[in-house]
Amino acid sequence: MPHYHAAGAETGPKRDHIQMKKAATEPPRSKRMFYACYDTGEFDVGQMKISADAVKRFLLKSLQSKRKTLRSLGVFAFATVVFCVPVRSDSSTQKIFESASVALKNGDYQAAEAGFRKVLQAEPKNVGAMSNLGVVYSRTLRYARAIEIYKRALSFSPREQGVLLNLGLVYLKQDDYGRAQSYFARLHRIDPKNAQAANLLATCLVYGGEPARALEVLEPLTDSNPDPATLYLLGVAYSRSGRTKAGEQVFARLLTNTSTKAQASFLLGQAYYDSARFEEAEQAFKSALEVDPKFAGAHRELGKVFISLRHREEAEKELRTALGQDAEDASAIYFLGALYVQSGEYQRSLPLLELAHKVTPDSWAAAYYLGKAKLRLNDMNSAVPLLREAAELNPDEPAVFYLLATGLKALGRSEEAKAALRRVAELHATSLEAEKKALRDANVVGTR
Amino acid sequence: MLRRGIGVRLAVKTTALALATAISATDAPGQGVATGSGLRPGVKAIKCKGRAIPQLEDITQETGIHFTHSSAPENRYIVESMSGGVLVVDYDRDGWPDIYFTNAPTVEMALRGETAPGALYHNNRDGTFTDLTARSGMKTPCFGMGGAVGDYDNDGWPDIYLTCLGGNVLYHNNGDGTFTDVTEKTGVRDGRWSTGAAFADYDGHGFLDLMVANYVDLDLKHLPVFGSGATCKFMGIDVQCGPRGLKGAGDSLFHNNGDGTFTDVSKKAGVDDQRGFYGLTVVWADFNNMGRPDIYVANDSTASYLYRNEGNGKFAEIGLDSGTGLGEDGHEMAGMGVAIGDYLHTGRPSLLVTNFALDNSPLFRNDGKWNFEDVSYPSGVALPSVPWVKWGDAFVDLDNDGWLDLITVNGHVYPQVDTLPSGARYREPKLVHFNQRDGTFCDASDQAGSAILEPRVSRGLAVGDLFNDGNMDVVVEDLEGSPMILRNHGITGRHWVSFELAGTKSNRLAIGAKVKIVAGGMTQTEEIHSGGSYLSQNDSRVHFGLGGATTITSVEIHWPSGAVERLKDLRADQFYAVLEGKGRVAAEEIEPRAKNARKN
Repeated sequence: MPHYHAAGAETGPKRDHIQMKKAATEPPRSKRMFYACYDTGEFDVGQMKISADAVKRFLLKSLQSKRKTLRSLGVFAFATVVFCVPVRSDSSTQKIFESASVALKNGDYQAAEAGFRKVLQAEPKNVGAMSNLGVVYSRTLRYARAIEIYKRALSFSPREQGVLLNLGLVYLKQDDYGRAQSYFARLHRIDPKNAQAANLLATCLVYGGEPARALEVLEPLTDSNPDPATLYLLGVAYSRSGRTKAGEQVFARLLTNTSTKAQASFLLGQAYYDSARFEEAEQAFKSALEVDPKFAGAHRELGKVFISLRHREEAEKELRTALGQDAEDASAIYFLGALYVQSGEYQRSLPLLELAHKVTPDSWAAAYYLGKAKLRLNDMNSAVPLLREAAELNPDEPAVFYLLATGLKALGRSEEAKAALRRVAELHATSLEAEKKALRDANVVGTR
Repeated sequence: MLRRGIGVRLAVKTTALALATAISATDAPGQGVATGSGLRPGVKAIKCKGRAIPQLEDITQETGIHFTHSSAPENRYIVESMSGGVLVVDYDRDGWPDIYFTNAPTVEMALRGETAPGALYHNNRDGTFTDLTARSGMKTPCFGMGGAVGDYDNDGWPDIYLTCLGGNVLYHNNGDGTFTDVTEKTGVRDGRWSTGAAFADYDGHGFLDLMVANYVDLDLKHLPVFGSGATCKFMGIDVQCGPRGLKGAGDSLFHNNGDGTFTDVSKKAGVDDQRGFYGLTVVWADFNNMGRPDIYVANDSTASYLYRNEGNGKFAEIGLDSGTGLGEDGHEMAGMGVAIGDYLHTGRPSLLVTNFALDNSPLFRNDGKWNFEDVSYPSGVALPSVPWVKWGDAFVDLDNDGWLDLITVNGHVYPQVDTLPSGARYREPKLVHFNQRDGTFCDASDQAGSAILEPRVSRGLAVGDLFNDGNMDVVVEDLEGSPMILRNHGITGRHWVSFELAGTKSNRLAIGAKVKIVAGGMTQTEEIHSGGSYLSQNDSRVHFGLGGATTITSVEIHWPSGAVERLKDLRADQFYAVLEGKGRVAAEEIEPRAKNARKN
């Protein structure tokens, strides 16, 4: 039996964050060995190394432009790379494999799927074909099939690191931290020095509500010359664990050369905000502004915190200050408009949300709040198309479909309204089931 | 108990999602913003001004009630957070409401085979109560949650159904101050973790049927480990797990066979909760005035159910369609308690569903034709409710002005929140809102007596005129410590009327009967309910405040049998007994022990 070894990391849906330049190398070819090369997505880590300078440049650029939130740093580590892995096969199957791989690389998923299926017909235990077929499924958002094929690959090759990585990534894309964590943990056990596996495992732990365990993974990695992404995760893990000072120190370290107290406080504020610890976030952003009253983005972020704290007047003041600093701050425009919607000031929200909708056409949230404002103003004919647009941009948000149903019902389109309500019920059911699975997987509850 | 983990979950997705996350959080968060301006300037918390506010005085010590609900210091398991229903029931039919407090052991106690005694307090008619639990035979029935009152065999003596973890108990009232456990004989044990329960005659056969909500499929020997997963965290700290992530338990409808037994018809009727949502409170109410009781089940952290009675033994679930299944923007509520009342004098019952901290309690205004609108923000009841974890609630005319007011009791689930640097606290004050007669309520929580502001870990709430003085009093059971008897001192010069109904063709307690009165230019409607609030039972007499009116022009009683009875020109400030088909009767005709007992 030939030894098959193929692995690639899969591509996630394109998202609003920075894209690293691809760093592919042309692989050597031989009769018995070729390379399967796959583009990887933002969840993919691959073998890349990000320099501290790159992070600093990104950070400073973000701070200056105010167009990206520093949350983007959280996915920075998962920016696009290409990596290729050798595969062996016999000549005829090899050709099919190779052309399927090329098709995959070129985004021709239909051809790639057909090719890898043919390989598997000829060689049902071809782990490489299984793995690549999983990538096809994953890229075409057929996660259940991807999971199935990856698991089949693992049944033949349980320690196949690429497959373990891909399988974990599929779960991570679905926010299923519990299951993703188990595969990244296996990777981490196989190679404890693999920072990529550690980072992914830590990501699952941090965002899965186990920051203390994430610290156990991250702290050993940060003893010497740590990856910036690791440092960021460590800072978030500290802040989520309530270790404010340690978090501040990590963020300061992340920005060692050019850092200021304002920047460190700002990062800490972001981490608290992401953790829904709004009072602490408020203090952190205020600290940043005390040091530098014009610190870019701080007023906007503080405004967002006040929104979450329901301090309407303060939120409005901060967002208006942010817009005073930069009238084109799309995020501040959106938040202020949405704040007005949530405050019941629908008419007042319209110009802001119309602008936000125009400058961020891919933002479902802008369409949603504009649609909501129109709905509350009983302009159902305008509301429904906006809510439809929001639903298309984000088919996973129950609130969108609920308001859409309300609008459709008001227009007498009861069948469409019922369909929208069915979607609401489906989304709630899916979310509930995911939480049940997460507890089962974590062995918190049994399956009686 | 809906936790708002969604913000964090969405935050790691896309920028657009993150933007929405922060904003969607405005539908919920805001701990410690009890009197902040909030996010809706046009509908900010309305403080009561220029009106007399009745004082609700804590007289627990003077009443002789020394009950204490057992509690675990850390509430490490969800089952340790949920008990505390209170039943106001005139079990000996002397015309004076008595009180039953449920109780539950801690998990540690339960695993040792220990129980926690509930308590039955008899009203001594002088402002005090006597503990007659031992004599009644109801001392330690089960891992108790709450209960409901109904006369299932129509013998004139109210029976008590207690909901429990692992098997409910139906106590038949023997009429001599004692009760007999008839659970097995009647077939209403259920056996799961039951929470809310309510009786009603859904098919008009003259006997009370029983709906039971079940919460979580829980095994005391295999409990989810405290703080062990993402859904076992709150604001970054370890807390008990659930209910999200745990398996639901399904609901039950027991049809009364009329021979002292019941048949489980849950599935056939379409109310068995196949989706396994986390049921907490169940109420029956005739939402569309068709003379048939419908069902509302408040589910925790999942969509609530509104079951429309189809009149053929089946129910259609229309929660989402009607607008009562989810909060205003389609998010799941932590449906805890339910208050029902016609607070607008439209003749249609509306719903107030209590909710978890960081979410307001939705007020679903009944607009008719199965359309409800969440008007909690414009009505003024939303904002003051946001910081608290809200449980028992009631529409009740506390100031006898003829308009239903609102009272809600609060208390957090996690004692661990006291370790957070700011925001939520375990012990929380109560909320009292007064009806402004225009669809809005003003907040008088800091004007109705110091007891309202005292932070407690409250759960059940029941209302009733405990002292037969024409003012509706409040009984609160806390998860931790003693209960609270809040005596309503009322407003001098306001009038009232109270009706006690007894069915002949209808069920004896007249549960489901609607009473419509016209007095002082107002038309008010009330329905007699079993269960409701949170795991609790209100006094089954129908009370109306009359404001300055001294006579009631007309009274119309719609009996569950379909019969309609009319009374005219009644004097205010009286208790009236009405027997189906006979009109007004002497109290002792329907209350065997009422002779010489009633104050008036």
